[in-house]
Amino acid sequence: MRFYYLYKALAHPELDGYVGPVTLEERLMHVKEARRVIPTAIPWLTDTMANGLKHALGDSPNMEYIIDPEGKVAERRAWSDPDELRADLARLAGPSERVTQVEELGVKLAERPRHAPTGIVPRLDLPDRAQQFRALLIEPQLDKTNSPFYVKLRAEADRALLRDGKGRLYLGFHLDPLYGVHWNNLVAPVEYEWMPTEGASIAPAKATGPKVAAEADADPREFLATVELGESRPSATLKFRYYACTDTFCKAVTQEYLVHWTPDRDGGRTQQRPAGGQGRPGPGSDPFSRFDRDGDGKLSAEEVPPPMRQRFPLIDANSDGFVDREEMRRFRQAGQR
Amino acid sequence: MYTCVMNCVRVLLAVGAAAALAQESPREQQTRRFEQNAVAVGAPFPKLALYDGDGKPFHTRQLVGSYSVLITGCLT
Repeated sequence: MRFYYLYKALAHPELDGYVGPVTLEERLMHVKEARRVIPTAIPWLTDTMANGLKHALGDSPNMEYIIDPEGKVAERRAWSDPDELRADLARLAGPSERVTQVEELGVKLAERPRHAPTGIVPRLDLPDRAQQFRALLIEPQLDKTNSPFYVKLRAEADRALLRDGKGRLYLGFHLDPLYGVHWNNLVAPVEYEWMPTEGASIAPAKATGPKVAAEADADPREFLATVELGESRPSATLKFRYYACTDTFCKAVTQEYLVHWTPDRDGGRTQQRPAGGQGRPGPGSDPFSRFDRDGDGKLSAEEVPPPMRQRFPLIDANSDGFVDREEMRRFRQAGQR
Repeated sequence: MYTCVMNCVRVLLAVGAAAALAQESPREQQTRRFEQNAVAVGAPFPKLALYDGDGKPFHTRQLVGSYSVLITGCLT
């Protein structure tokens, strides 16, 4: 019997600062990062950038399929459930002689990358963003740049824009933590500019990011625009200028995106931000706090990453549907023995 | 009269269905879409080219021969 994880488009972009890859090489960097932060003996497979298998299987973020020896689907569910999976496998292939226990897995969650302080530039105040805005299909113009996309664009349209062609547009430029870059606030701030497009009116057509007193930070640069589209809803080209900097290099980069006014089925859903408007944790926060997005002091199955979700019922020692700090501590201790 | 009543019933059913959909959580929406689009039990698993975790080609045909479990996930 063989087990695989399939890496596909991000379910919740921005969570822990991670943003969607734009090339296969970057998606493989994500897989490498997944191996680092959530060590598991189960091998990862990687979907194509078109997310062909994700679409073919039903598009749920945490699907589970059992394939029989003849290559047919023996069982499947929208949300992976370890207890049901174990029961299915026992029914299909016979009971296991020896059941692996969580304590034997030795799982040690690693810290997410942090390359500069966050919480310095206030996030755009859009409390209804997760409900009212949907990710737009965007095409990074890979053939017009010699640099990686150190910064990733997240473009979202509100319901009115998608429905009537007239509404609000969210633009978020997020540093990709896998490149280890930060904003260098000693140089010119970021700038975006829409190329003139007949049949699309976007205001402001050009904008500059904030001047920040701190020398460096890793907060996203966010903008809100109003858009009015003609009947043809022509796609529009957005140019973005920034400095990509690490501790050892700093270079000017200009990159382009073609923005389509249609929802991206693989765009995922950003999580509602906790009170205070910061999307990422402060220095020194532990994994528990990172996962506890609603700040209620306990974790639901939906708050933890998928591989951990597999083991959620085992971590939830009192089976109340939540994991508290003590249950998490005991689980991690067991993994370290 | 009968036609009028039936039309009213259809309208009410449509309104009720729309209201139910509007109250769906994201998770419920995804579950509903999955049930509409998932590969049926007993149907062949899709034949598609993928990559392994190191970027080497992998094809779903390689899943044939023994029971395989595939779970989708990502960093977030």
